[in-house]
Amino acid sequence: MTFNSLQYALFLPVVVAIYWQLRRRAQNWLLLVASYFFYGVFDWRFLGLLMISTGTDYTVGRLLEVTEDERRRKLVFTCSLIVNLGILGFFKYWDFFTGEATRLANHLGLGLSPPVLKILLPVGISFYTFHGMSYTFDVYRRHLKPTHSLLSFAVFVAFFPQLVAGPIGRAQLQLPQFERDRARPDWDQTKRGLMLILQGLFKKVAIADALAPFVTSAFGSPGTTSSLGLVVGVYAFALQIYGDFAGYSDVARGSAILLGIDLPENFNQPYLSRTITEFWRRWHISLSNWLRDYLYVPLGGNRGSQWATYRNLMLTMLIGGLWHGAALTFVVWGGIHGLLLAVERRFSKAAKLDANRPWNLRTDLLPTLITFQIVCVAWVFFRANSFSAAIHYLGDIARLRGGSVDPNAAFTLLYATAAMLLIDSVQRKTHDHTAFVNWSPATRGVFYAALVLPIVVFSGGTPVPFIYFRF
Amino acid sequence: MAAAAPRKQRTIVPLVIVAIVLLLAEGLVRATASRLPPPLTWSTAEIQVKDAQINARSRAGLTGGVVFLSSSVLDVGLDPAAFAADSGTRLPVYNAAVSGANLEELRWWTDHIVIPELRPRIAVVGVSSREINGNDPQQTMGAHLFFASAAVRHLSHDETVWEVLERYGDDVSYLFRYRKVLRDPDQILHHSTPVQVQKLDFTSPLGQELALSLQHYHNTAAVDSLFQATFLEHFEISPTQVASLAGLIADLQRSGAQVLLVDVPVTQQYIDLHPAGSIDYAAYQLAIGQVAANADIGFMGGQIWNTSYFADPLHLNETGAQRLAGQLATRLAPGLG
Repeated sequence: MTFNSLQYALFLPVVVAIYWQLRRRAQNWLLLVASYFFYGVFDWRFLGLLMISTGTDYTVGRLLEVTEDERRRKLVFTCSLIVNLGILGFFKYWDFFTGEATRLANHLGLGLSPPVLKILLPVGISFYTFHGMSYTFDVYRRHLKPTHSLLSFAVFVAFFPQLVAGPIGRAQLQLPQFERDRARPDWDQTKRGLMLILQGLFKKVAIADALAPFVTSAFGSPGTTSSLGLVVGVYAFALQIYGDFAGYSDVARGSAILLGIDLPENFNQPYLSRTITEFWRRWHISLSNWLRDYLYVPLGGNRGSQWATYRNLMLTMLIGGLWHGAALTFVVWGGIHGLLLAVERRFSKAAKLDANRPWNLRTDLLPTLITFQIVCVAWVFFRANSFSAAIHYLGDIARLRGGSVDPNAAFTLLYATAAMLLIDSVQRKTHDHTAFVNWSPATRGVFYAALVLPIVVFSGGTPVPFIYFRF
Repeated sequence: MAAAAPRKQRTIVPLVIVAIVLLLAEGLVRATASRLPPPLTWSTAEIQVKDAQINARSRAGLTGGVVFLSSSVLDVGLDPAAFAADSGTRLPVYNAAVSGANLEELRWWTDHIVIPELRPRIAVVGVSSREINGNDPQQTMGAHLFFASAAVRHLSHDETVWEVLERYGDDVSYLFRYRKVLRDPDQILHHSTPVQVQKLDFTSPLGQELALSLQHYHNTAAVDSLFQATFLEHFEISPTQVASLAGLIADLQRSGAQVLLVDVPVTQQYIDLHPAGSIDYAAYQLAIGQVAANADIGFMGGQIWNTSYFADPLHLNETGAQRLAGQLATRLAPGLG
């Protein structure tokens, strides 16, 4: 069941309507059943994995609470990591690593042939695994008291708005919300929730899905597309993935607000970033924060020598790349960003730039454009089917091959750019993702119509699954 | 109560504006609909055009005649006008072949559209080894798109709730119906119809596709590799396609039509392009000969013509389409009355 489906349009109002008729414990039961149903619609066979992950993390939390001996605590925590990363590693990375190992072994003449299992990837496994791990990390580090309610914990892990594509929840912020009574959203909050849902649907249907065919066409046949057409393809992908993922996050946050739950922001106008460092404070924020707190900092962060900091940055981004998918292209994508972050830290004051400093047209336009171009080059590796395909794609752009550009692609890209710029500029200026609800009724009406009309026009095409579902 | 009015106003005004904008958009689309290209409900423009032609012929009473059923091999390779002239028949003649169709697709098309609308008295079913090959990726994709199209799903009573709602939306709102066209501003600006957009799909009033009629066979490596890499890739006689052919013939017979199965003429080059050459081709001929024998119907085939009749190794050009029409006219003339 995807957020832009008819099923979800029926499912959410029914859940919300019943939810507010119930008391807290019953609300949690409803959320758990609804969340498992939501997940089961994708593939009920993987519900077992979700339950194993939940049960393991809950039990580990309780064991950590009653164990004082640090060595035993470490052992318990390590067991939790093995189970979580074991599930993730087996389902997501087995075929990748065995394939790479086989290739390396054959290269060395060792004749190794581990079995390739062609394992089906459970939807959202990377998200809910990291979700649960944030809890065990925090309990282990004594930043969080473990919960005694398996029900609350199970709802925290499986909460349907964020289950399959985030934002990746933080136990410290979210778990307490399921353990206390929730206030019914007032009219203003309801409006903001609905605004986020409408905005998210617009980004998904009228931006991401509208651009998808042109991206598929450019990356599917780079050899026969003009260089300009390939550039349009990259820009289109940059907006597609932003619209797709930010759209999902908006619907998730809007749905959660209707249920009285506050989810963290996941995107904060990333393409208006002036540096790569700022980009990572604005793009997939929940993952960036997770990697910072549970990987970069434990590795040593910036507490050691300069080179140790660069190594930690690089390792964090390489693993962040691999988190996205079991392919060399994602590792390279992470590596490019890691390298750029290290370079920025070494050679400029960019890394120290305050991401909250207001965006200024005169001084910030050029750095923003340059950052966007760099991000787009890295996107080629993210989107291409293989490393060599990405190199060929960039090579074909550099060859300056003549030819025309699909006028529909150019038109859709222009319209999508204008729409995203408008939305992001308003949000940047107001520091509010739902600032539009404060506009005058007439302006709001025009804005809503400008969202609804393209949703109608671009609805009902070939279904394009949310890109991040496969991560 | 004092605060209720402004809040109500704040809520209603935006909704009214959204409604007004949508109504304006609806009106604009209705006003310009006659100049917009029709939205596709079938998988290809050609099928959509033929469906409209068949409906019009049915309404005009042009039923009970001769119908040609096949893939592109008769779609481009049979001139219905030449057939009517050569046979001297007064029966309505129509080429209902569909480019790229495999035999499952052709059977559905025959059962749901051709038989109910045209009620043919004589049906000529044309096949080549390509339609019997179960491993042609292009044909498989074509069939997938055909069976996934809105028209097929509706007529098969196989729609999801969303598809039913979409259909009602299409009936009620022009904005909704034309939304896929509106996504294509280039097409709108050039006032082009899907038929003109896909320039190769050019359908005559009697249903013949004229795309290849003026082409002459050039034995190019590119065409050969296309045949080897797609049409005849991993050539294997598909039991599903053979069963669909038998089923198609049985359906036509049940409807009261007299059926002639035609193994379409090909070039020697075409036979040689099969992975095992003439061995594969002989196996194909044996399979369809068996189908004809089991159904006790007329069978015509096994002809190898020289390349002057062809646009490529398999598809006839205008000269070839007229020659085949003449042969079929001679064969069927006694039964045409």
